[in-house]
Amino acid sequence: MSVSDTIYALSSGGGKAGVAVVRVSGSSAGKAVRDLCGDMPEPRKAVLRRLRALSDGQTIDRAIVLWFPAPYSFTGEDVAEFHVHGSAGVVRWLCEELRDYGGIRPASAGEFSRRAFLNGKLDLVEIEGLADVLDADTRSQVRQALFHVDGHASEIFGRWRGELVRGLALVEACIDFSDAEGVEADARPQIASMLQELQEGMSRELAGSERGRRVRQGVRVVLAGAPNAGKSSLMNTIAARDVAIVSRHAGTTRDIVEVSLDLGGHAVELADTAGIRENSGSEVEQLGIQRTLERISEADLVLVVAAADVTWPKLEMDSEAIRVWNKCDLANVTTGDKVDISVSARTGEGLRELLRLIEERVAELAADSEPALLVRDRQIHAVRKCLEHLQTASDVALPLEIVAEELRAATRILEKIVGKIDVEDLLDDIFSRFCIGK
Amino acid sequence: MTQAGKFQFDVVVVGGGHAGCEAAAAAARRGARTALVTHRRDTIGEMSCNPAMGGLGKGHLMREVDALDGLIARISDRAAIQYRLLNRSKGPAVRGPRAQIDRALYREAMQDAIGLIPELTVIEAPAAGFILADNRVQGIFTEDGSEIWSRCVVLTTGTFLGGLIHIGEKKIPAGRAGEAPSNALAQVLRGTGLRIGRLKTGTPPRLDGRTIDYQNLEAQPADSEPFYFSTLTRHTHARQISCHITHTNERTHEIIERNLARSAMYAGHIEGIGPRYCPSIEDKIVKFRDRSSHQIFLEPEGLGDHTVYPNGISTSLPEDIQDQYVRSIRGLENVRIIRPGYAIEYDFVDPRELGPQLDVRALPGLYLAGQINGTTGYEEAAAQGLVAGANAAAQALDLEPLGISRSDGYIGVLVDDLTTRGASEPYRMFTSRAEYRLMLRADNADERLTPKAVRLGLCLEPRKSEFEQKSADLAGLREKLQGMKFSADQVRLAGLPSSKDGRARTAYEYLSYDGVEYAHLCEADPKLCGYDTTLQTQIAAEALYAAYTDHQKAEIRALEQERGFVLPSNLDYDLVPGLSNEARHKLVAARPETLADAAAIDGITPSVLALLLSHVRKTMSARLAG
Repeated sequence: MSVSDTIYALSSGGGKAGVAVVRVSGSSAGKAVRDLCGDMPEPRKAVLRRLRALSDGQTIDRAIVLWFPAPYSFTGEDVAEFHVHGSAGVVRWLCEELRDYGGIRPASAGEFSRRAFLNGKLDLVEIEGLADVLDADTRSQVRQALFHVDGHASEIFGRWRGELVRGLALVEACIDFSDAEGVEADARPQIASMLQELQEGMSRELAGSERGRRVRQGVRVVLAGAPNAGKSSLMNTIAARDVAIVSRHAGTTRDIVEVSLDLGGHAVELADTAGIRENSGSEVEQLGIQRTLERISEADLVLVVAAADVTWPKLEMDSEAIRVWNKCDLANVTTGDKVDISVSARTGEGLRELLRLIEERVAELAADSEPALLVRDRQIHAVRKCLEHLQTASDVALPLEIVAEELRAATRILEKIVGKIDVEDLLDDIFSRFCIGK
Repeated sequence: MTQAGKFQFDVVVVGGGHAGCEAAAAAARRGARTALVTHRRDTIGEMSCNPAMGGLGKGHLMREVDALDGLIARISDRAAIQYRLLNRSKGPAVRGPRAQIDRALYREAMQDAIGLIPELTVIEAPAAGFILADNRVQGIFTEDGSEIWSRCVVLTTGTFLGGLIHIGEKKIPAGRAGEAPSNALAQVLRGTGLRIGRLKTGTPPRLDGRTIDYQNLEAQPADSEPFYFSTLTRHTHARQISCHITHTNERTHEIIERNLARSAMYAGHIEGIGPRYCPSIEDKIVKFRDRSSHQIFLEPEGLGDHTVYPNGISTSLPEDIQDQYVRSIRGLENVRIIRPGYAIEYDFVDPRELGPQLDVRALPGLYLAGQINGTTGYEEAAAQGLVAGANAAAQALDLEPLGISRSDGYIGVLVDDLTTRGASEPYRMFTSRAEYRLMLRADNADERLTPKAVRLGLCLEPRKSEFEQKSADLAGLREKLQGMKFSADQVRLAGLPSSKDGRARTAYEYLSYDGVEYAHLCEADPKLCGYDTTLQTQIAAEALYAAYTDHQKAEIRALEQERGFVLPSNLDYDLVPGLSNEARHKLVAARPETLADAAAIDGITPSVLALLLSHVRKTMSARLAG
């Protein structure tokens, strides 16, 4: 491993806390530990030490110190962790001591992870998973992200690649050793079933990717209906009650308001939309309706809301939609053919049932026995391309050297997914999403 | 003594094998006063191993050496006695020209060619060391202590460095059968601190063809339409013959198995690493126990030579066992062995010590080519010889160096693989090593490389004029086919696939369809028959892969653009995150102008380049945004 300069950062959240963790990585990390602690702790054992300022020997803090010599550390370099009291004063003092130390500098955003990648400790899929763990709000997001961090996803990509490389080797043997005995004249029959199985596997994962997207970005639930059906008050009531509100922000248009919810461990993006009516006059309103219709078409689940005191809106909706009578306190209604549930945003009647209904449907939409393999557009797009190459390669009329070309292209794509090649552009994007010290 | 007077030569090439001949000829073509120093004048151009040239990947290398006006292809055409184009049933990108070669004819033709080069002097003397002055290699010593001063030296010593032959328990220091090794030179190289390793290769016993019973053996005739190695060759020079095929059998395997302990290889006498793709018969039997028979090609070594090379049974067993097992083979029951087979171990220099011009980084002025760099094969040797010779001349005369990239040719793949990955076993070319295989075909080697050779003064007449004429004709044909559309009648008549969308295809597009050949076009328009068959073949191959190669060319352009990416002259390397101190020091010292210059610095890895690129891009876009 190459000698690198040494970086440090506060790796825990800022602000007052019981404990703050300052992490140091690089070839000078060991010297910093020795100078601050007075001795070298045993590797990978938590020890209590008095940290003393280098200049005048004053005690900075009493700290738990962890020492991870290379290569058995997160970054693959020498790493030290100082668990100090979570006070701004202690942290600032310790960081100043480190900064005054020759050859140690503050880490830039995502630099620890970048080093882990460059030193081969994590591949690209694992790094992306790590970013998702840090961003996770719900249990299912954590579970899915850990599947990637733990290398299970990389294992699958690696297995696919391994099979392709083996198939490619058979094809190349036919080409380069056609005059040798024991080499088939045409490898296509030998690789046909492998190609078939790979294509099935990739198609399966592509089909499951929608689920992965729902887990990662939240299941998209849309409240739709006529103006004054009480969608907004219903949304406010939902947001104000038993559910954890993650954030509340204005939508991309002035007509759509969204909240992020955690429903039964799944992330949900609940959106309130502009009311739909048929003979609307203004152009502005038409535009709002247009956006609402788009939103509905992208939604994973639509709640069609109607006020119980008016007639049911003429709205095209699929059978999956949940039909909600609102304002049931104003009119006496029963659920039946047309209606799945009746609620009152004002009194709270039926709200618990509605939430349970949404929760059930969200669980169906997002949960699976296995976490999804393909969770990012980049991965989905790459596997789709890969599948195309495999489909072409399966064409029996193709010359063998072109089959090889297609298999090579497919292999390169899989290598790109885990970041073996062509990564520099991706790296910036990925690392810019990390905050310092993670 | 004046600078000019000090040097008797611009370039001295040590070794007269396939790398040495090509290096000396290339240096001389560039105008360097060149000396070829060899043990024995009469073994210049000797084919030490099998009597064949070309094959898959190797045939491509020969076509490329030819395109750079080298010798190996045209000399092979003088001596070819059985042409065979391998992979004829597969696409043109993976067809490999190959031929059995008459060893004596080859040697004579090569010696004649070397003798005719005006700038080239042959010196018969064993080289013993280099002259080192001002931290540069400035010539060589011969064994009698005399000095030959030169601006650059190319070493092409083949298997002669510390060469050791094994036959059973017997060990004979030798460069090849009957010739002394270069032990003094091996000592000198070992003293330089370069990383040196040991490799192994082997040959089969040579048979007396008059004692072979060919009656019941399968004959393999030559191709009726030979594919020549050189674009300059117009006709077949030597009489064409057939090879024969026989097989080992269970009795052969039993004899070998019983005597494995006496094989030099299996008794543990050999430390060198042998090639996996060219196993000895002992290896074949031990590693592929399920096979009860292995194929042997009986290759005549020449028209006037009754020696036969049994390809497929190289061995390091003792002579009496070789005798026994060979005679167990059909057709060889009464055969006489002229010379026993042997394994040979030799020193090689880790080619990662070399730059892309095959220059030894730590010893300026010194170039290495051929088996000394861990390769095997005449063709690989010749290709390196040409690169080393052309570049030694460039350095000596201050000319533009010869650089061939992986997208230019197999030669580029060879040099790049060797100098960046090294050789863990004797390195042999395969078509699968070339990622741009569909572009790098035997048929278009001249289009890819001859313009470069012309520009560098490496290509002389008559090739220069012939190429320019042919290239213009090819461009004319291409333009014609790309503009030519057939009527529905013509399409039907010629049996071409009819277009489903009703859009008329050009003749060139039809050629890109699998199964459509140039002959189909001729049926649609007989005037197209008037073109030379070489042009027909080449344009058909080009069109067949056009969809793929267009894509690859775009990829290559993007890559080159990236390599041409200019690094700001005020770039503060201290601010580039993630750089190692070592990389930082090297970059600060060298101040590369472009990413490609940075890549050329020893120890600058692709990940360092990625860091540089992303840092510069980021700071540039920040500046633009700010």
